[in-house]
Amino acid sequence: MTFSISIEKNKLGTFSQKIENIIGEKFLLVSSFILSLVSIIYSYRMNIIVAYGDAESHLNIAKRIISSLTPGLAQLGGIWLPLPHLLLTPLVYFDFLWRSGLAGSIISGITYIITSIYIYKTAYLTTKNKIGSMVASIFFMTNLNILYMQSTPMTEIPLICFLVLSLYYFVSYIKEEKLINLIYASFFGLLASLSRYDGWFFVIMQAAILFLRRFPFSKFRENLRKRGLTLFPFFTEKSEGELFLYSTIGFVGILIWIIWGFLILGDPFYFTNSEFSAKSQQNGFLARGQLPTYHNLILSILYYTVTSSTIAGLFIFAITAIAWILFLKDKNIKHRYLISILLFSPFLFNVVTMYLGQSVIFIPSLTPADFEWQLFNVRYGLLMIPAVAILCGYFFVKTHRLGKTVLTGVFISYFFLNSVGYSRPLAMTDGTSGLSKGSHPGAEIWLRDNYDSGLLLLDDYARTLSIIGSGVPMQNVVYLGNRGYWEKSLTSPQDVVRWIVMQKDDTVWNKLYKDKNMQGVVFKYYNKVYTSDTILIFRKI
Amino acid sequence: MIKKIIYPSYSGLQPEGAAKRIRWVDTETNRSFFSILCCFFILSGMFFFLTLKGLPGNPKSTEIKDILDQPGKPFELSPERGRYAMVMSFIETGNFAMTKTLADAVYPDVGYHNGKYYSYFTPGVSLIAAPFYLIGSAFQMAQVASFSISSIFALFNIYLIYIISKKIFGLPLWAALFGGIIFAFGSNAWSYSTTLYQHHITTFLIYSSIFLTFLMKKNGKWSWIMALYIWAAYGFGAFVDYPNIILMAPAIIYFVLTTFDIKDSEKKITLSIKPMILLTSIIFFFITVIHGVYNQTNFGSWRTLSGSLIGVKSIRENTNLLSPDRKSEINKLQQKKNPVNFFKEDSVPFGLYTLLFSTDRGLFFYSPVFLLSLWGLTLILKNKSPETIVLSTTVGMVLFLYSSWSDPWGGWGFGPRYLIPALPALSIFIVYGLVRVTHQLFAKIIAFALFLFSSAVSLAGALTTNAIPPMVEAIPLHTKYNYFKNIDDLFLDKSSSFIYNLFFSKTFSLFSYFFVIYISLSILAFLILFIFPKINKNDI
Repeated sequence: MTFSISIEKNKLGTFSQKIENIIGEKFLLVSSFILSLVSIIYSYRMNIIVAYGDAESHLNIAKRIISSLTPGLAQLGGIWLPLPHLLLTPLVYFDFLWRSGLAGSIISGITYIITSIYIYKTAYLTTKNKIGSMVASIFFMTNLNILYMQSTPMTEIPLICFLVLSLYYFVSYIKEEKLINLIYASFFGLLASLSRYDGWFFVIMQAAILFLRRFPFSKFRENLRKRGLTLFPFFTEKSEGELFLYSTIGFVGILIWIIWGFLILGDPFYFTNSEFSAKSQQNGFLARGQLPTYHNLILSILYYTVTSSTIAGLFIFAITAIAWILFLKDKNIKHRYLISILLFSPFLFNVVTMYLGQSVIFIPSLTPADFEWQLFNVRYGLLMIPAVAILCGYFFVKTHRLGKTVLTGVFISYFFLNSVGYSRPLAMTDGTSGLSKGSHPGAEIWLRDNYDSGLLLLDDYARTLSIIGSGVPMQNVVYLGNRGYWEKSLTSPQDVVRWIVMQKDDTVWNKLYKDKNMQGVVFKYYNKVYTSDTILIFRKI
Repeated sequence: MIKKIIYPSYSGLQPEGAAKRIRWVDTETNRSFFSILCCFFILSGMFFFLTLKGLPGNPKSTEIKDILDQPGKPFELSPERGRYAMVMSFIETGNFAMTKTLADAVYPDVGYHNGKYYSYFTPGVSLIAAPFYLIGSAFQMAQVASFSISSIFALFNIYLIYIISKKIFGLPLWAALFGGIIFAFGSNAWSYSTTLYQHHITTFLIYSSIFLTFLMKKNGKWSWIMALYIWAAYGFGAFVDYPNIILMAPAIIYFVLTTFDIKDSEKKITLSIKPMILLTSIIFFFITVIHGVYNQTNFGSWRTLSGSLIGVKSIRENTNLLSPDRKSEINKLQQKKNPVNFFKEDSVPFGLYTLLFSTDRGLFFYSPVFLLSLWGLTLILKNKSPETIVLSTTVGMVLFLYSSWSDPWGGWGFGPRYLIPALPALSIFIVYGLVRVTHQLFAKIIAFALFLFSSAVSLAGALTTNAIPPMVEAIPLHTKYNYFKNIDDLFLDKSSSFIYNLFFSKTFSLFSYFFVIYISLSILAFLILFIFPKINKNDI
C-alpha cells in the first residue's frame, strides 16, 4: 500500500522563479541588517561587546583623539593602523556609545552588511547563479563568529569588508578590463591597508597578480636581448600602466603609515620595532618556549588551518576544501588561479607571520596542555570566512542534488550543534574566557563606586583595569600618550594627579612604588585607599 | 546438476535498469561453496574461542576487586567489570542497583542516586549476557559464557560483511570472506570479541539494519517484519550504548528514505510513501518507553541517563562525606553534570589524529591494512548507490562522534576501540578495491602483507591484555603505550586466554600458542586471497 502526491513541474518552475526574483541585494540588505541588529542586542544584553581587551583599547584610542588631556591625531599611536579608530571617532564622542562599545558595533555592523552584499556579488561573478551566490552570502552572514565579532569594536570585520570590496572590483577588472574597477579595487585595498597589516599583504598580492598576468613570458628572452636589463623585458605597455595606476592608490596607505611612524614616533618601522609591538609581545612567549609556530612551517600551516576550520565549522571547511579542488579544475572559470590566490591571501599572510614570530595563535586542539593559555587570537581565522562562503556557494551551484543536500544538511545541522553546545563560537569564547579577555579586577568596581574627580594616573598599556568600566572620564586619565603629563606624573605625581592606580610590575609601579625614594613621595602625599594582591590605588590627601 | 538462477538487475557493479542476470550454476559447486563457508565460520569461531578471555568458575562479587581486576585477568578494565557486575546484580536481585562490594569493584565507572549505586553503562549488553551467565553458571563457567556473547556477535558481523559484499556489491566469494577476516582478525575488533564490551553488538545492529533495508527494497512480502526488526534494533541500540542513537542514524535515515519513491516524469513529479514504515515504528516507541521507565525507576526521571549520574569518584573528591549538607552538595554536583558537554567540535582535529594516526591508538598504526580502505573508498564512491552512501556515512558518523569525544582514547584499551563499528564498512571498501583494481595480483600481495602485520598485532592484543594506557598516562608511569607492551607480555607468558591458561600454559609458551594460531590464520588468508579465486572461476 502506498500514498502518492503529485506536483506539476510548471508550478515548481513558477515557484523557483519567484524565489529568484526575491533574492538579491535588497533582500541581503534587509536580512543582514536584521541579523546584525539581533546579534548586537544579544551582545549588549550579555555585556560582551567589550569583552576583548583589544576592543576597549580600540575604543579608547578613538576617544582620546577627541577627549583626552592631549587630544589630537597623535593619539592614534604607531602600532595599530589608524582607519578603524578614525571611523570610531565621531561615534565615541557620545559617552554612552563609547562606554557601551556600541560605537564599534555600529561600524562593524555597517561593514558586515556591506560585506554580505559584496560576497553575493563576488560569488555571482564566478557562478552567474543567484541562488548559489545567495548561499555564499548566507554562509557568511550566519557564521556565529562573524555575528559576534560584528557586534564588537574589533577591526576584523572592517578589514574583511575592505578586502571583499577590493576583491570584487579586482575580479571585475580582470574579467571586464574597465579601468574604473581597478581604481575601486586599489582604493579599497588602500582602506584595507590602513585597517590591518593583512591589508598590506593583500595589496602586494594584487599588485603581483597584475604584474604576473601580463608578464611577457614568451617574449622575455627576446626583449632582454633587445633592450638589456631595463624595465622593458618585464612589462608590456598595458601592464606598466595598470601597475602604476594601482600602486599609486593602493600603496599610499603603506607609505603614509611609514611616514607617520618616522615623523611622529621617530622610527618608520615603529609598528614592528617598538616595545609595544606584536613582535615584542611574541618575544615574551618565545622566551617561555610557548611560540610553537616560530620557524616551523608545518606547525604554522597546521595552526592556521585548524583555526580557520574551527571558526568556519569543521564540516563546512571540509566541503570548502572539496569545492576548492572542483573550482581549480573548472576550466570555465578563466581566472580561477588568480582568484584563488586572492581568496587565500589571508591564509598565506597568517602562516608567514606565525612563522616569523610576528603573531601567535593558541587553540585547544593543538596547543600543548602545559601552556598557560589554550585560547588566543583564534579570531584570525575569520579572515578565511569570505573564501569559505564563496567556495560553498560555488559548491552549491556546481554539484548535483546530493552535493546540495549534503551542504544544506551540514548548514542546518550547525544550528542544532550550536544550540546543544557541541559547536561553540570560539571567537566569542576567546573574548570571554581566553587570553584575549579584558581584565576586570575588583579594583575597577571599587573605582567605579569611589572615584569622584581629578586626574588619574594609569599605565593603560598594562591594562590594569578598564577605563570604560571604571567610569573615569577619558580626559581625566593620564597615560603614556599624554606627553608632558605622563613624564611629570612619574617624577612629581603630587603636582599632577589626584589618583594613582598601579599594578604589580607595570610602569607606574616600577617608577613610583618599586623605587623607594618615589615610594616615600607617594606615601607622603597620598593615602592608599585600595589594596589587592596585584593592584594598589592611591588618592591624594 | 545445473540450475537456473535469476538475479535482480541491480548490484553494486552493474548500472540500474540493466537486464536481469541469469546464471546457470552447478549445484554440486554450490554445495562445495556451502561447505567452504561452513568451514570458514567454524575456523573463525575457533579463533575466537582460543582467545576468549577468562578463568573457570563463577566469580563472586568479592573476588572481582584486587583479584580478578589485574592486567591480563578477565576484569582488568572497568567496562567489562561494570557490565558483568550488572549481570550479577540483575540475576541475583532482579534489578541493576549494585551492592557496595560490586560498586567498589566497578569503581570509578559507578554513579550514585538516592542511596544506591549504578553502573554508568546501559543495561543492554548485560541483558543479552544474562542468559549466558545463567547457563554458564550451571557448568562453573559463568564468566566465560557471559564473555562469549561478544564472540558470537563478532561471528554474526563476519557473516554480515560477507553477505553485504556478496549481495549488495556483487563481490566474489574470496573478497567477501577476506573482508570478514580483515575486520575480525586484522583489527582490534579481535581483542573486543573476547571480552564483555558493546562494540560488536553495536556493529551488528548497524549492519543488520543496513542489510535488511536493502532486502526490504527487493522483497515486498516480508518487509514489514524486517521493518519491525530495524525499528527494534534502533530502540534497543540505545539500551546497548547511548551513542548508538547517533551511530545508527545513517542506517535509520536510509531505512526511512526507502519508504519514499520519487518518480520524475515529463510533466510532473510524484512522491510516493509507504505507510508501513511508520506503522512499524510503534515498536521503537515502545522500547523507548521501556527505556524511559527504566530511567524513571532507577534514576528518578525518564530523562536522566545512567551516564549523567553523579559519580562516586566525584562525590568522594568534592564533598565532605560527614557533612550534614552532604545531600545538597551532591545535588549541586549532579546539576553541573551534562554528558552532552563531553562532545565538542574543537576536539575533532586532535580526536581524528588520535583515532587514526597516533602511536597509542591510531587505526593505521595498529592495523595498517586499513590504509587500503582510503583507496577503496575513492573507487566505491564512483558507484553512488544508496548503500555506498550509507556505509560511507556510517564511517563518517563514527569518526565525527568519537573524534569530538573528550576521551578519544577510550580510556585504557587496545587500539581505537571506538572505531570498531566503522571497520566492517572499511573492510568492504578494501575488498571492493581489490576486486576493481587492474593489477589485482600486486594489490593482493600488498593487502596480504599488510594483513599479516595487522593480524599479528591484533592476535598479540587478543591473547594478552587490553589494559594499555594512553600515551599521556603511560609516560608518567614509565610504561609502554601501544602494542609493544603486548609483545612484551607475549614473551613473558602473560595471557588472558581461557583456553591457554586452562590447558596449555604448563605445556607451551604463549609465543608458541600465538604462533600456531597466527600461522593458521595466515594460511586461511592465503587460501582465501590466492587459491579460492583459482578454484572458483564462475563465482556465485
